[in-house]
Amino acid sequence: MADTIVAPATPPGISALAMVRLSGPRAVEMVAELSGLSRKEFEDRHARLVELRDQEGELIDQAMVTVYLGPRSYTGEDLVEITLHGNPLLVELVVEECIARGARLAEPGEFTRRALLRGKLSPDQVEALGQVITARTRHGLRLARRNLAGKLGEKLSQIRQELVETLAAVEVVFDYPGEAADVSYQEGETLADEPELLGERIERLIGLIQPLVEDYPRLSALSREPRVVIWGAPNAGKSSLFNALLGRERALVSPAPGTTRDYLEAPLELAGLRLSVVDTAGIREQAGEEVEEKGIRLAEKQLGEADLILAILERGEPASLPPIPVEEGQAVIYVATKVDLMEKVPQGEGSSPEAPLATSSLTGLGIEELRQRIARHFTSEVGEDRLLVSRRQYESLRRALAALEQAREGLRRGVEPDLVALDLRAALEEVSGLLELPGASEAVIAEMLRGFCVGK
Amino acid sequence: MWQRYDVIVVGGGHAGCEAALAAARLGMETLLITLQLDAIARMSCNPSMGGPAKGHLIREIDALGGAMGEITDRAAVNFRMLNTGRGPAVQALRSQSDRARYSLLMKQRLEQTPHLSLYQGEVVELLVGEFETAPEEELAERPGRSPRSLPWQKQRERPTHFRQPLYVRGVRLSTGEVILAPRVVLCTGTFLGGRLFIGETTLPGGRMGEPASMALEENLRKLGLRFIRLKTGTSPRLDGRTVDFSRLEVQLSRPYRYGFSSFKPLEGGGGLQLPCWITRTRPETIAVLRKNLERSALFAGLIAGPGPRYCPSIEDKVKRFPQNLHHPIFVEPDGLATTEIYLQGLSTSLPLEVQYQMLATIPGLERAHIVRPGYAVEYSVHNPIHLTRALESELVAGLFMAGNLCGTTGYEEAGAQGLVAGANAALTLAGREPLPLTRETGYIGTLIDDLTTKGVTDPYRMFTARCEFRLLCRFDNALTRLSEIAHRAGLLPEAKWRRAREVLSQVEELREALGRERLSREQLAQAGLPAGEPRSVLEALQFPATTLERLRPVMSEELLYLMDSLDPLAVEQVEIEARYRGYLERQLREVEQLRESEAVRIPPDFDFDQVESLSAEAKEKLSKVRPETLGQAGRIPGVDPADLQALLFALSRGRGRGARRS
Repeated sequence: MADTIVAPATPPGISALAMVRLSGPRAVEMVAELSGLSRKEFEDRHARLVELRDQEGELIDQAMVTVYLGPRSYTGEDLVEITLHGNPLLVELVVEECIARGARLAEPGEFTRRALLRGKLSPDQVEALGQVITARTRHGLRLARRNLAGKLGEKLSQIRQELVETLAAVEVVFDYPGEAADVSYQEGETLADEPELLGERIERLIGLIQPLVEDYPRLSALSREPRVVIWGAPNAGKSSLFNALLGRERALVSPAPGTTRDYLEAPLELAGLRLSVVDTAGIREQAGEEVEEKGIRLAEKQLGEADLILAILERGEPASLPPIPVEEGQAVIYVATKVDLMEKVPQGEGSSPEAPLATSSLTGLGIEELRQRIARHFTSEVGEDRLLVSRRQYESLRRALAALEQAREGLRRGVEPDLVALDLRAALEEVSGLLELPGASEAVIAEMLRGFCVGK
Repeated sequence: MWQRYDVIVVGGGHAGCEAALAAARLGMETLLITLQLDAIARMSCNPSMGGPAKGHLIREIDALGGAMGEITDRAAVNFRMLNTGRGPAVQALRSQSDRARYSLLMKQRLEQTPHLSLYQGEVVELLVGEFETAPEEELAERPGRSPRSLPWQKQRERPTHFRQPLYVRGVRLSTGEVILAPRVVLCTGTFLGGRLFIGETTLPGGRMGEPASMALEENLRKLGLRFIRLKTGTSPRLDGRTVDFSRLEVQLSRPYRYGFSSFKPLEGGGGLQLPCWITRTRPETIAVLRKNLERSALFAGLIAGPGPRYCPSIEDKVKRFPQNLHHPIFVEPDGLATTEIYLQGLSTSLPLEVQYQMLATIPGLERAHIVRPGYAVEYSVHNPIHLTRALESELVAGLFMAGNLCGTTGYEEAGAQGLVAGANAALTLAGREPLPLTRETGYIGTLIDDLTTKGVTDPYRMFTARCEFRLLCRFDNALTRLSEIAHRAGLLPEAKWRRAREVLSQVEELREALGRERLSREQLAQAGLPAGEPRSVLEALQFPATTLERLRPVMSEELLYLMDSLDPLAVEQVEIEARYRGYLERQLREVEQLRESEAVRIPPDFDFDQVESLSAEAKEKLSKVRPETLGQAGRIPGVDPADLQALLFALSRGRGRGARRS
């Protein structure tokens, strides 16, 4: 039998209200004791105003208590929410009183873990819950809600099912080679001796997983606060562009190269997005003094954390751009500055150094286009079919994808089907792990015996 | 005969034989008691042995010093290597045995084994004592006789498991005889509480024509052992003179250098050989079956126990796959000295008249005479979840179990468990550790781990799909993998160990020679490989579809001479390991991860209920299975990574306390 746990549900600090939650078989009994009432006086899913008293009978606080009897509760157990006045001391007192009555302070995430154990949430929904709580943009929130509704879980289950079916169709032949009349399946149903059909199945599986992996860097930025970092040579006009994007004089601007030593960060609201824009020190081989060099190192660090890089080309000159150490998943928009000084204004969209997006911080030319381009980058294709995965899911799916690509490569090189199956198994183990379902062997054998007419 | 032995094995089937041989090989005075001495190692179902996963098991039994491989080789009348071209991990040999010869040879082997005696009788009672009330002398003076080959640590008997209140003292036979022994291995097969079904007819029995063992089950239940019911079935057997072979597709035997034993090549490629044949059901057969489905014991509700999912009866197949009209039937000879024919693929518990109607529709079998009807058998199984990984009971110290009694089917699965149970009975009696057969060591390790970790709800058979390290645990390298373990335990006679070491050193020698010999660009091109840089032969083997055979034309005389002088088993192994190096290295890394979690041991008396952050479900599962390591805990369905974290944390705290105390 599980014990009863207690924990504050709201962050520490002074606020109007604060909440303490209890979950477990004795949750209702404990709150009844605290409020000097009997258990029966708390009705399921009804709020009730009570006076909470400590063991000496001294009043702690007036509080609203809502009882959710299991299994119709978040955790699936009896759950009690106590809403107090928002003083951390009151919260502490109530938690202490519960512990004195036999409750245990919950470990981080334990309420959700109990919900998972009682089948109230699936593993993918637990991840989604984290995304709902941490999302910093409306788009991120929409993606997280989609997952909470089980869309990602459905997708992962679909991928797993197809992996299981593919593997069963390969491996059934290994254990029932057919030579001793132990199989009644038709030709083409099994895949071990059909490299072309198997190749198609693997291709299909890759097609299912790839979008999840590829969308991750862009979509995961939406669940935080996306960082847009401006990068370029000294005196290329970075700080002017920074100010122009923000629409105010945030950075100090001067014609002297190396004016920005530190980096500057400012929030920017764009079409429902809340971004962080970062202006960095200019990059050059021979830094003038130690402090400038430090600034450059800071800029490089910022670049590493960027979700989108604005690469600055002074007057559209590709040679003016210092090399960008782009990491996987980082997108770049190439921006030409000071185009008011150019005779021929470039016409690009910013997709390459040869076709930069033309701007002038002085005249305001192209600034609005750049803003839209940035917003579009983060919000385009957040269509119905796009799904956000968590870091853990991303890592796991990336390994699954790599295993599938290896299976494809093996097949291309003509390796035997049992080795291709090993790669498929590696992919299946990853996806099963995300759904917290048992490993490959049991599932594949069950599918083998369900789907094929085998046995002597 | 004595009234006192070191080890008593109950049952003379495939598990019992290997158990008795293993215990006796370890120098224990061993008595094998069976209901019928003429039925030693009888093949109750088809006369076929091996195939994928099962063939692997036989090679492993052989590498551990067991008899099944050698005897299968000597009794075989047909050999086929299966899954050639589908990869090194799933390739394995299958054979047809001369059923009578197999029994005879195994009985002969038992009779020729020192320290092993046979006895015909029915065990009706397991004699046990309680640790709490046991007289001190009785616990201290075990075992009966001093073993001859094992290093002996005289020690007081104590529970190996914290929940064992009882210990074994011996057995009582139906004649009233009492035979004492500190170790008993139960290998009751389908005989414990066995009931036979042919259509609407039900009769007690462990195999057609042989009585079941009823009293023993009653007695074991009283001791507190719990049983479930499982079912399996077999096909009708025919008089070969009434089969029209001219209308059947024939399948000939093929010659091979080695059979199932890695110790001895096949004589003359396998001796006198017989063909097998194939025929198929027709739509008329299916119609007969459909009309009579409800008359099968299976669907009439007579049988409570679930049957094997992987080996369904013909009526099961028709019910589940109604669109399949042409089920293949494998027509197997039963032996050289008989005309009896076994029909694989026609396992059934339909009434005899329906079996005849069915045959009348199958090409070549229209006029066949049935000499033994097909039937189903339901029997009692002790859920192996209540055994330790040594296959010892968690309730009765010194009581070991193996074979169908533990929920498996198959001669090979039975033999494998028998060997492990018999060896462990002997080893623990000598105060030594049980055989360290973990999952990564092969199919036997995987089998034992699956059984004791997950238990059974329906009959279990081995599949290559169950062995996650199957590329490492191949048919060709069983000897290399296991002979060291066998030798350390004392299971290998000197001559066999010499042979194992010889193969091992040949593997080393060839690997080195292949690594030393460089192939120039021209030579690579000559062998049809992408030229590029010069490479060793070993490296060149990693190109797609490149074999030693293909590289022969560009090899030096010396290398060719060496290769041809080495044992083909060694050559095959080196070649496979070179060709699939990348894949093998990946599996080795996975094995490393497994070893880490297997290295975290859980004390046998560990109280899972005391770990607060474990889920209620995990606590219940863990307390039931009682895993011996963190790795085993992780394989229990319903125990998730967070539970393992909690467990690991609790274990490390526990260890800390223990260290301070000492």
